[in-house]
Amino acid sequence: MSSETVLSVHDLKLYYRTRKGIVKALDDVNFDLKKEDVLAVVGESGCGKSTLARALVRVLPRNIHTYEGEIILNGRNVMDLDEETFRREIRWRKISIVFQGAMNSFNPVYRIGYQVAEPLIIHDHVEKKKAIEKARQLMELMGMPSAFAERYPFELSGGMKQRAAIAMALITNPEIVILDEPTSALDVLTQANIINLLKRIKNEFRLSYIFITHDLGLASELANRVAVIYAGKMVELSSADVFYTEPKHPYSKGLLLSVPTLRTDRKPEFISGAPPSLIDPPSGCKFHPRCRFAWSKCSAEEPAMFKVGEDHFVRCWLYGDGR
Amino acid sequence: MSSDGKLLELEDLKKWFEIRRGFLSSKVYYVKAVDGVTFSLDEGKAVSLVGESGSGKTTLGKTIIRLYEPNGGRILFQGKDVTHIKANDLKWYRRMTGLVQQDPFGAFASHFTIFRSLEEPLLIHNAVESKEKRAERVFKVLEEVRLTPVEDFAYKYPHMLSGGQLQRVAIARAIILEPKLIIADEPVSMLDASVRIEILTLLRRLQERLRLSVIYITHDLATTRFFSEWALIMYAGHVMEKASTQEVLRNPLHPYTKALLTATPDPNPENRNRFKEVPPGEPPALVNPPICCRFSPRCPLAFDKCFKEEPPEFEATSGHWVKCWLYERS
Ligand SMILES: Nc1ncnc2c1ncn2[C@@H]1O[C@H](COP(=O)(O)OP(=O)(O)OP(=O)(O)O)[C@@H](O)[C@H]1O
Ligand code: SF4
Ligand SMILES: [Mg+2]
Repeated sequence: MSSETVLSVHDLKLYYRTRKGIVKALDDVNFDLKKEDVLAVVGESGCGKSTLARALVRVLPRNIHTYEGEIILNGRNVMDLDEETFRREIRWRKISIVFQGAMNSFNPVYRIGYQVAEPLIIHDHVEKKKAIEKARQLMELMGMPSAFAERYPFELSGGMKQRAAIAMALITNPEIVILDEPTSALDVLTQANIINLLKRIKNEFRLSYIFITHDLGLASELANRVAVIYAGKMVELSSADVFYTEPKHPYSKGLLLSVPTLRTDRKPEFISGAPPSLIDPPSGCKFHPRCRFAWSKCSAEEPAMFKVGEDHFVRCWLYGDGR
Repeated sequence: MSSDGKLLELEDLKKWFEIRRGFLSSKVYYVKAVDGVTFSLDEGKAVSLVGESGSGKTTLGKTIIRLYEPNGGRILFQGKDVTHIKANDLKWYRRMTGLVQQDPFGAFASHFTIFRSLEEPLLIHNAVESKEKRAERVFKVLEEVRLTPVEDFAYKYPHMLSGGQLQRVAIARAIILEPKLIIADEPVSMLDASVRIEILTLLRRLQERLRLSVIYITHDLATTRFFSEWALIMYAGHVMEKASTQEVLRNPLHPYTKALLTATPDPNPENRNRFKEVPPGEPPALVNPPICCRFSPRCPLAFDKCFKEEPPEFEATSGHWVKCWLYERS
């Protein structure tokens, strides 16, 4: 599929300032997203996945130390836009988000239908009644009885609230939707139902997703591209087909082997050690203390993203020049 | 110990919670969190309790080790009835059982060193008299859970350890009184994917080496495979299916178990090209649950009888039990 690029990210960085030091939560991230692509962003807790989401929609906490790079949407670098323009033209309009834990962030005192309609009312100044009507239609499309629009958050199950959160992200007709762990608090059957829903609406609305998850099995339900993040750095970027059959980075390999499966007889294995601190990470390749293949160069110098195939990049000296 | 090697036997075990709706109302309701569970566990074996949140698995675990008092049925431990034991008997039972909980970060007092946290149960139970012997025991369990060199770890504080390391300390604390039974309640669900298998492997090794029985509570069917001999599938307070883990995974019978298997994805790029056939809907509330089969409102195969009467457990094949009318012998 050689379709148009809708999003292109160059050297994106986001560091937080804390009492203990600077947290390099996201460093030098590069990727392209094409129309109707689903890029899964995978990695373990604290590796920087939500930070990437926040950086893309510019919803930032106060303690930002560094926020730089290029975010090119339809040919325009939106990092150059002032907050007002970004809010009016980009956030929700072009790129919207279902935040991690969104289903628990609804305001308990407003009806769900109103809250789903809120981006329209606030950002597009659509008349309240009309907006709520649109919300109601969209919620129905998400598999919710439209009468649920009248309910308060506490009157809905987790699965229903999550559907409402997805409806809310879609109400402004965005091209790109970021889904940050959209099913992680839900039970397995509800999760499968929501994944079905996400597949269906992606086709229907010709959406592109950035699908953030720590679960490699779940990622394969939606993704045609995969980005692996380790300690704030992207370490592999690949098509899903290649990634799931022949991952290249030692961390990607280890992570895939650590997933227990139901349909194969493979015994899962673990990677010894734990992910590093982002305040004082290891020198060189951040994975070297846990890597079976590491040699002197790995602790001395940080590898770049090396191209190993068509649209396939790996941050590891095993694939570097002169090896 | 009963002669047939059974460590634990549950007979129709029930745990209901009483609630009142509205403080003026005298009407009492029950949340039937565990509603008639029967199974037995051999010494040195592990059983997985699989279910989604709210299915009653944690309540069952806590009832088994008598953190809750059952409302009905019986618990036999080494052939002895422990269903309603009190005082000294209960204290003995607490020593024979250990608990590892989900959240390793909230499991330890922040101002205690690891050594102190591990010494605590020994002090409470007056298990080891001398200070030297206690230290010996603490170091020994740290060794068992492979937090080595032990002197390095013993004097650290909880915040200095990773989630995986803390969960090992939790396991060490659970085994320090040399119990016969360990309940591990979602012990890895808060840990990083890359270290989960490490912790499960450790538990498995201890189970075999120390001849422990383990009740492994999880929502993740895929992790039961290499870590338990038996599997119980729970739904809305009932055990829907029980058999050897291999059998449940290879030859699932209950429509709910089948749905769980279908819904659980393996990493496979072909997944994106298909939709999953899973039943819609959600588990019933446990206040006044359906008096028939609790899965019937969602079951794709339900027929008349399923909406009228609760099925008993049928033994579909030898040792494979399923609570579903489809398996009634005519
Ligand atoms: N506002 C903040 N100030 C300081 N540090 C932060 C802040 N937000 C996040 N961090 C740190 O940045 C790192 C990346 O966090 P982030 O939330 O992006 O991770 P994540 O990959 O989304 O993790 P999870 O899988 O747990 O959701 C972590 O070390 C986290 O503790
Ligand atoms: S650069 Fe070296 S340490 Fe890093 S992943 Fe590659 S081989 Fe391992
Ligand atoms: Mg996150």
